[in-house]
Amino acid sequence: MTTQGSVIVALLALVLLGFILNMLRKRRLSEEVSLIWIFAFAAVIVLMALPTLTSKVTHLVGAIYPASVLTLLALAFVGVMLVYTSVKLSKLTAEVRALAQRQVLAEARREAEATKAPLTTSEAPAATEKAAEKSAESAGKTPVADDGRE
Amino acid sequence: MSAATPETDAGSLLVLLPARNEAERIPVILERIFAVVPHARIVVVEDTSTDDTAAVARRCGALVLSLPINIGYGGALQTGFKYAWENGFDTVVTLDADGQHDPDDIPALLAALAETKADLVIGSRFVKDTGYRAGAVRRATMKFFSVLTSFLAGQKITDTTSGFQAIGRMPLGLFADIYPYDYPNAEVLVDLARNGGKIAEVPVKVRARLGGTSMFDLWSSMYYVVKMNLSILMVLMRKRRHGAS
Repeated sequence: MTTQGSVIVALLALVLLGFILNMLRKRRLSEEVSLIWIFAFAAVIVLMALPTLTSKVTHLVGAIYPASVLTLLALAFVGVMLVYTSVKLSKLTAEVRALAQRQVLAEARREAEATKAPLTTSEAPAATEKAAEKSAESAGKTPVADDGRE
Repeated sequence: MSAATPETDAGSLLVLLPARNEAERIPVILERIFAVVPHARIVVVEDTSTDDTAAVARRCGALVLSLPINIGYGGALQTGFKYAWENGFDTVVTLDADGQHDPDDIPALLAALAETKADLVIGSRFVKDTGYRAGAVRRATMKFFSVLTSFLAGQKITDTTSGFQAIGRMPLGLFADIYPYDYPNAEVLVDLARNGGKIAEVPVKVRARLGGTSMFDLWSSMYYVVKMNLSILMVLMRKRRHGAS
């Protein structure tokens, strides 16, 4: 790989690294995820700074041009990151769905309890027990109310 | 508390309707359900409607669970299953809120559940000629999944896509635990059969839906076929779950 090429790739990686760090600073990226990107760009910079290491890796892979090895590595990395993102997204979707269900069920439970024992402002606290009994009775007649099973 | 509330009498029944923007059609259906199964608790799971479906259903006397975000048809159904499971209901009947399913068929489903000792009864359009007509693509798709599901479940099932079902306590536990969120059909039945569930069918009439679009146009039905095959394959590749109950 030519020195010019290496410098350009290294500079590009440096810019992207700065971009990632800036996102991290603004809290738009979690530290957990950003670490993966930081290591990836750092690795690119190291490879560009050490041409002997790059040619060793090229030889190891069996490629002729260091550039094609870098492309291969970059593609593999992007692919892995995409799958990782999809997995995270699926998990998040499932979690949000479960949360929505739990929220709606909790609300129903709270409402059922509220109709069982309404605390009206006009009544004194001592009268609430009686009121609760009364409302439980009347609630049993309406189809909306809780069925009162224990 | 009086000894016998109407609900405890009949072995508690919950009628579950996922609904989205059905404010106009839902009152008629709810009224019918109350007339047919007066002892049942009616739960409407309202999935992010833009009209006043929730208010209308509540006024009709249904318990309304209003989802804060759209979690799909299956997700809405599962919300109802979780409610029924947690509150100890023995039986859940699901039907669509768009008027496709006739509440008058509910007793037939319940009777089949009791008589055949099945865990799940499907209100089928195909057990006998019920006047249901569909386009060629849709018919072929349904036939394919009917044959595949019957084979994999080891029980004859003619209608895998029916949303009109009576569900007993055993499948309720399974569904409350894990249920597909988009369009739960064949894979649910295969999964249930693999977990030892018995499935029965009764014929029901299905009215042509009033407006709205069916999920089966050509592209989406191609997606559906591929996705459903994948779902079934996944069910077969997973371990049996041996009843959450």
